[in-house]
Amino acid sequence: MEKILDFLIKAGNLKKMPRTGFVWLGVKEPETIAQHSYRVALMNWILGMKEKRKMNIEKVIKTSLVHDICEVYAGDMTPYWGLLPADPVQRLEMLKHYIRLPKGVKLKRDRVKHNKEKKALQKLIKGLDQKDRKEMMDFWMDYEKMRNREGRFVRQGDKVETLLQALEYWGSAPDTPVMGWWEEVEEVVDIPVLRDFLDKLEKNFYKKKAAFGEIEFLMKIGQFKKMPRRGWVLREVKNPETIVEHAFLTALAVWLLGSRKRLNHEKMLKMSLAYEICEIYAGDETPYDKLISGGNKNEVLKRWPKLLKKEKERLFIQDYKKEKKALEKLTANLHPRLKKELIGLWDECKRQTTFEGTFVNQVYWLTTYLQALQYYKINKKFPIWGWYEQVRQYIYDPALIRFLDILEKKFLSRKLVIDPDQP
Amino acid sequence: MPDENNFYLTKEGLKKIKKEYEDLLQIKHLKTTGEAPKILHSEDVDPEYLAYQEDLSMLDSKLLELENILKNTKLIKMPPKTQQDAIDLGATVLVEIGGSKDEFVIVGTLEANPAEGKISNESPVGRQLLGKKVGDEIVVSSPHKTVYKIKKIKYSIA
Repeated sequence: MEKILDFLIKAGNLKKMPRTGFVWLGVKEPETIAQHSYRVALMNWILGMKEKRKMNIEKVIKTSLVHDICEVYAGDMTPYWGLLPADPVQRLEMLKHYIRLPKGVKLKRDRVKHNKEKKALQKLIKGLDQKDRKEMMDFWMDYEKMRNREGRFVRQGDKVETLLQALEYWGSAPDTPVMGWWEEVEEVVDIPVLRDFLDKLEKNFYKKKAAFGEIEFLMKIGQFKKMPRRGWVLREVKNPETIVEHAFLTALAVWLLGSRKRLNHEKMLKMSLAYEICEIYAGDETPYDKLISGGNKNEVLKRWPKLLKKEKERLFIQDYKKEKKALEKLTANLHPRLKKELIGLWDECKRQTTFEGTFVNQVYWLTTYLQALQYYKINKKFPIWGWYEQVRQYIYDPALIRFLDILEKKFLSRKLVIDPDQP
Repeated sequence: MPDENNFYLTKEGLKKIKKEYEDLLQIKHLKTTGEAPKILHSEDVDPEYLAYQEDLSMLDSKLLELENILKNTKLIKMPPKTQQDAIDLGATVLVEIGGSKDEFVIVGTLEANPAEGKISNESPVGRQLLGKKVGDEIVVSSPHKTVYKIKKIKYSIA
């Protein structure tokens, strides 16, 4: 389990790594690799279900989650790596179009990139159990070499998501060059469901047809990419983790911590991706919000709020209704079956009515605690005690309690965990 | 023109798929004879048993996928000399796009990997190039028009 923790900490670095292509184009605060990977996973799941040739959606989601994780060590190598001129004007000119090269050169460059990324992935996963290591490497290879239906779908979906993001930047800054991405998808994407999605994207962005269905939904998720978690904002963290970055890490944690459980893994991964999307409309509320008034914020944040059972129930119902309403609004134009599935997954996780929901809910709090401990490590004034108290109430799965111990051993020394009310 | 219900493979691609299928069959045979955990009939939750079950179901679905491919494979063959002036599956094509030269081979969807210079015959670019000859142009009209001028066509299928 120590190795899973090490992996999650390293994979967590993707939350701080902006995507190179958008940095080069001068996009302000470009998306991170974690934000991109999150929407790739969500999009491939939703569009993958529509694919005529049935795919293994658990595999699609896992492949999407893993497709860029080697970049923790390898960095984000775009098709232009090593070819861009230093001069910013010439560079921008080159970025306007997809890279054109002789076949032999493409092959050689692909081998160099592949070997570098494979080594990086091996380094990142080397401590994991053989089963998890094999699975991650296999799925990454499926994606890299497009060697099965799921791998091909994720590879092409990755390009489509990147184009969608580029179009979203272009929508708010029309001088963002997007032609290169269009040129790329015209050569790469041949799966009918994704082609159909591209046609709809074209209509939406160029013919100004209102976004509807999956496009509307995924564009809302796009706006969500930059939404910081309220808990960190309240504690004045600089460049705080966003909600989707947290969901990305939670999905990886659910994959690894739940891999030996006799549960529905596809469902748990979907839950990790869908659990927080209601916050697009409901906002990210914390249990502290209602207690903060005037100048008492620092005092309130010191401890996990203590409330009577009745009050807790009242707040839960209030919160539940608000989130459900938000989710209904967000999914209103999706296919009724998908809408029902998304709301059902959220409900199971929120109310913990199934083993899967209970497990994912606890992992959600565990990855939140991991991030809190990382902030605490950097800044000892970060109020950690509230989290310390909370996880002792919220986490009760035996395996997760063991993980909690390991987490605290790594980040907290006994001396540091002092009840803040004690002198 | 290629039929969408078939999987077009080069000889090399078919060999790879056959080998993968045979290897997986052998693994399945080993798993169902020698390696099966002794608690096979137990209903206890056992990580080894679960991993074994997952492996088997993944193996089965992979085997089914490969069987379907092998059943519907059409081998990409070198066209007769008289037809080698036109682009078909297996052709290596040199094109000029906005003053830059680009090169790729047209393959079936299973072997496509544009990063390696292999373009699917079902992609918009691949689809439009089929049947074209040196000197022809194709215009790929995503919102931005891209003109591909065909400069050279070569066949080198083993």
